[in-house]
Amino acid sequence: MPLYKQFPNAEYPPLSREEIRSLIKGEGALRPAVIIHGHWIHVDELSEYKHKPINDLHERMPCDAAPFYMKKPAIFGKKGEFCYCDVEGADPSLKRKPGESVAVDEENALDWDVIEQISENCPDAEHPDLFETAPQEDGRYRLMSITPFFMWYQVKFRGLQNTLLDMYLEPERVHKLNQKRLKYILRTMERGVQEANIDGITVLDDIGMQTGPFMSKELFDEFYLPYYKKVCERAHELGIDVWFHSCGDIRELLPSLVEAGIDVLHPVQKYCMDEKEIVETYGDDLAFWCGFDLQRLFPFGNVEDIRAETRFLADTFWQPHKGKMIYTISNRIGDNVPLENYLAFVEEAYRYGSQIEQKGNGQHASPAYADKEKWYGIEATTTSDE
Amino acid sequence: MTREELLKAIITELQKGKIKDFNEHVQEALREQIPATVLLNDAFLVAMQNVADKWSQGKAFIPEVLIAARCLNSGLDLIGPELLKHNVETKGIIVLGTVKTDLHDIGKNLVGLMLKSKGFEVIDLGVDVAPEKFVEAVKTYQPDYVCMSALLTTSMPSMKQTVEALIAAGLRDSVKICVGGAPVTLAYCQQIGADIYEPDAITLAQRLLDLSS
Repeated sequence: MPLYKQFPNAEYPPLSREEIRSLIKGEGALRPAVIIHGHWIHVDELSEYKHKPINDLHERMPCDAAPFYMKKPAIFGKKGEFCYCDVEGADPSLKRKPGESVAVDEENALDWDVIEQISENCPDAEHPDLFETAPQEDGRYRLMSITPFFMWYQVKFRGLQNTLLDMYLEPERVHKLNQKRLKYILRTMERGVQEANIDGITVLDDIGMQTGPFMSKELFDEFYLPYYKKVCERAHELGIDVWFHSCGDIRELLPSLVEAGIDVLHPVQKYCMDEKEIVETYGDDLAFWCGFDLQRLFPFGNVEDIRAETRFLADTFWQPHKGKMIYTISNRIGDNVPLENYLAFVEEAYRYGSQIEQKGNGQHASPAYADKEKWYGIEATTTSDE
Repeated sequence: MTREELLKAIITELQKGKIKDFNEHVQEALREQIPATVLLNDAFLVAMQNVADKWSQGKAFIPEVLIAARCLNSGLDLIGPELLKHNVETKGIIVLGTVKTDLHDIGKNLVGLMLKSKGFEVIDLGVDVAPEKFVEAVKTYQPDYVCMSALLTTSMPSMKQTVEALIAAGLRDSVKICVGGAPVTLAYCQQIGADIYEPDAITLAQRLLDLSS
């Protein structure tokens, strides 16, 4: 059945798998894709009054992909269970509530000798239910999330500070852990292609902060680049794309990401990196999963700000006759974003996106740049200009 | 090793995070009767300033700051008893925490490290700190500054609630309130009635040092 017939209520029929592939490769597309649902918005996490209007909107403007999460391991479990750590008694030593994966400080992190007792096949890449949430095939691009990638896999055990220190203090153990993670990712990726017919994977390593990367390029290249490369090489052999997320300013590490073979970058975080500079420098190498700003514009802007910023993103990132741009949000949307702002963003993304191929670039300015005082604060404006 | 050579070695080792050599040289310096205040001011704080400068210049990153701070903490433990004997005054007392509903701590920890490296006494309340816990800490420690951190926009209202709680407790005028974190701006700082905003740990530490002198 043709794709558009499967979405009878859609004002904008979703792009097909082939169109998304073409858009990522820079071989053109009808419009920027819009891929938010399932990754960066989870409607059931928002206030109930938002559910219906957002679900209605998603029916009128369906996601241009079929995203899903591969089955997530529990953090702790017993031998044979699907989990990250099956060492008996390790759980209390971490003192962490289920689901929390940040803010693990040094005192509560797992010791390396505990980590080294974790079974080799834990989590088990052969688990039979790995793709239980994969949606039915409908002709859309199938995007499977395998998170975390490497650094944030270690953070789950060691906390962020220890993870950063371990590159100096425990380099061999870091490599050993990365090798284990690599084995798991390669195998689940292969199975994803065979059993869930995936077209791409999303992976997450937050390697950036607001004003720069967590680590130097030298450390990144030593501890992470080799593993990123192997994942990308195998993904490309399998015919799938690698979509990579990192918050923050990662300009210093972008050459390494390009060298690794990352296909799609998310989110090019506003106020951290200059969007135009990034497109000009890396527009040939990367496609951009452009994340609408969640720090200031989305929660604190008005509908006109949102629409203007949405146009700005397409004017900046869309490459005429090539594509290479997908709309989304910079991170998982919270309940502090007004409903009307989210609706305005999605509507404008489809409406304006559908016209962009005819319009050319650069006609709109971001409200964040037009009204710096409002969005940056007075001092930050000065800093930014410097 | 001469006294100058010893201090120089300690500076180099702290900057490189060579904790074993660093500890040995600090202990040697104490045996050689080099005053703890000299070790603190002419070695530890100089080395940390060098690291901070490199960080500002984009030549050092968080791992390098953390590995140096590991030496600093070890060094402070070693010279602590001597410092107490000389009743060394701190530059000021800081109560620090990531605000309620926010669990991110690395920014807050870096602020703590940088303030410590400037000679402040830092009381770290941790993450997810409720307004009443800040109020309690102000009563207990009588700090010069309360520093609040947030990474999430959804957590920022907790900063305002903490300012209001300090007002309600009659403590607002006894402290200066600093706010920071990725989504925080000077405009927001002013809007909630806080006193000081800086975009990063280094500039905040320098600003508070300037204010204290």
